Amino acid sequence: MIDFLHQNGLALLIAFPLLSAFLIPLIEKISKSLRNIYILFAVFSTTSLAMFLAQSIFAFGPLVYTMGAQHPGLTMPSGLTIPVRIILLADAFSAFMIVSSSIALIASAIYSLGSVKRSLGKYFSLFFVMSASIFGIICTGDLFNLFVFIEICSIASAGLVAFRKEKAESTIAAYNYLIVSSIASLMILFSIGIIYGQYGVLNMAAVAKLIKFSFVDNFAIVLLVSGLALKCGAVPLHFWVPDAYGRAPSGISAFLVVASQASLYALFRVSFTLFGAFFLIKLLSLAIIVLGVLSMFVGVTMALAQKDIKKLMAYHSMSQTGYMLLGVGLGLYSINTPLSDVGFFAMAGGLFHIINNAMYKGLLFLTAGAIIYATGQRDLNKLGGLARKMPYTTIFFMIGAAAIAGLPPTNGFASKLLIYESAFIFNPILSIVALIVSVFTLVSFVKIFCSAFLGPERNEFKNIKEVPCAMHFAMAFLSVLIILFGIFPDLILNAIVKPAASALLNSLAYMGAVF
Amino acid sequence: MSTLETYFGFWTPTIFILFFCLAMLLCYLLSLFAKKGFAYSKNKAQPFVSGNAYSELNLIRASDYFWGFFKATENYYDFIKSIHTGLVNDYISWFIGVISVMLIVVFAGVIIWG
Repeated sequence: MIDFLHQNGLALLIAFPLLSAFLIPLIEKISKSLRNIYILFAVFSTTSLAMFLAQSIFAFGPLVYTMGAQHPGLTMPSGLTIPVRIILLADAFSAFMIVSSSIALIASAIYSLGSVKRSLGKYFSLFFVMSASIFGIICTGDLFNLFVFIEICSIASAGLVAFRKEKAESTIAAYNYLIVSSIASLMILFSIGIIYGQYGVLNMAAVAKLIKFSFVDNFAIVLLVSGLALKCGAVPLHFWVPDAYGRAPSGISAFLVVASQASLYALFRVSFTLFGAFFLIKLLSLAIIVLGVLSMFVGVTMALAQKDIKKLMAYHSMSQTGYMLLGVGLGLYSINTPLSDVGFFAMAGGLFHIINNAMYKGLLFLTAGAIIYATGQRDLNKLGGLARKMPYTTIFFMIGAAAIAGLPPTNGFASKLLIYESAFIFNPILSIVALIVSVFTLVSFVKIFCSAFLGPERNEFKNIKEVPCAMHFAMAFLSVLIILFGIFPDLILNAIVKPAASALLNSLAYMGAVF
Repeated sequence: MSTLETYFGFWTPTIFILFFCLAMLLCYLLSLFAKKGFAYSKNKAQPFVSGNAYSELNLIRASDYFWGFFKATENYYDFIKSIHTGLVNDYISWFIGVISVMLIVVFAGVIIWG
């Protein structure tokens, strides 16, 4: 059984959630209780499989699955010099993203079971399609399938953003997201077409081996990087983020963070593995650093001015994406330079921030959802005194807010510390901007805390109650992880973050898994 | 003891937690010196809003926070809010703009360093 899972796990990680997406509406016809049991089963099975695969990859190296081959590891049938089949390939960086996505998956799913009151079957169908596509983006070794999974993810996400279709804002947000996302996908497809036209291969390892960085290739690089930057919500391509995150059901807002991170994964994967040998790699990494700094600063300043609790948090998502882009951008910049050691720490910080952000940003979206669930109100001007009626939610919010602001001893502090220190060596201004952004982040969460949770009890909220247990459980799960990751940062860093950073830097090992 | 090694130094969360607990204990000990026999009454527990009589109307709301900061950075916010139009064609224009800038930068790089 273990051998079977080890060999076929990558395909199952995509196939099982996809199958669940189609099974849930059928099971719902039989019984709603059975549907809920199946949802829990599917969530725990997918997460267990994901964790098993991640552990296998960290222990034994990259996993390969060749679709339609006699043996999953047979990437090139005899006589062929290039891989022509669809190949799923996961190295330590992919495994790291699998762990990060699985944590958010389990929290979002359990929270949604408590918070979504109608059309739960349809909701979870789209949810599992989204999960499958996220794992697909992370595990694919093929450029065209990367595009396909990105498209599936966008369509499922848009469906979930518009889930509360009775609210015009949700439908408009989904429509805007779909249009913007489709244009970005079109650019990604165009760039993949250019690469395929030049080299006749789609496999990433094969492209990385053959690419010559011709005039046309440069054009493809720009289109691919811009398209993926839009998908991950980097400033100034972020305009869809506040609306989509802000209007989606809160369980989905938390999961959209992971969807954006999957695009970030694709951006880092193509930047390091495909274009690592690009003679203008410094220019590309500078572009990523500039996008990161802009995202950090614009995101946090826009957040500070918001009075809609979920929009405020959505702007913070962009700001946190900036930290990741800065950390990994510095790592890319330092390749083959005397600063490569510092660059490695910057990268480790950026990657560590990805998993931390999935947890605390997810938690904060869930607490915002709990407030909206209990009060029906998302306007901070109209909220107040909730700590009296919602003590648990208040504690969860405080943990999430401390983590996003980078207060010790939470996980946010550990990853930000690595980024501040490394950025300082490259250029102190980068470090100063990152610190100022952290201060602004703290300030804006103080604003939420004071206006929503503190203050005298409001007459209109005299009869509100705490949210259902499932929602509490999801928030508690993420809170515990935030604290554990904060208290034992070295364990996480050595076990999953540093191997991921090394795998991302070592594109030869990635290619070696195919050839 | 868990210690995170960074490029410059290290970070030991356990020590931070230990000192945090000590500080909490100190706060608790100080609270034991507080005046005994405080009679909790509704008037004493009312919020204090600069000496004005309490009313929900004069509560400080989220939009009132950091007004001085927003006043001082009015020009920045006027600009940044003006580009968040909510119109999808504006979003696409920004995307095309970014692609154009990146193409110019990359091809300038190719001409200079290529």
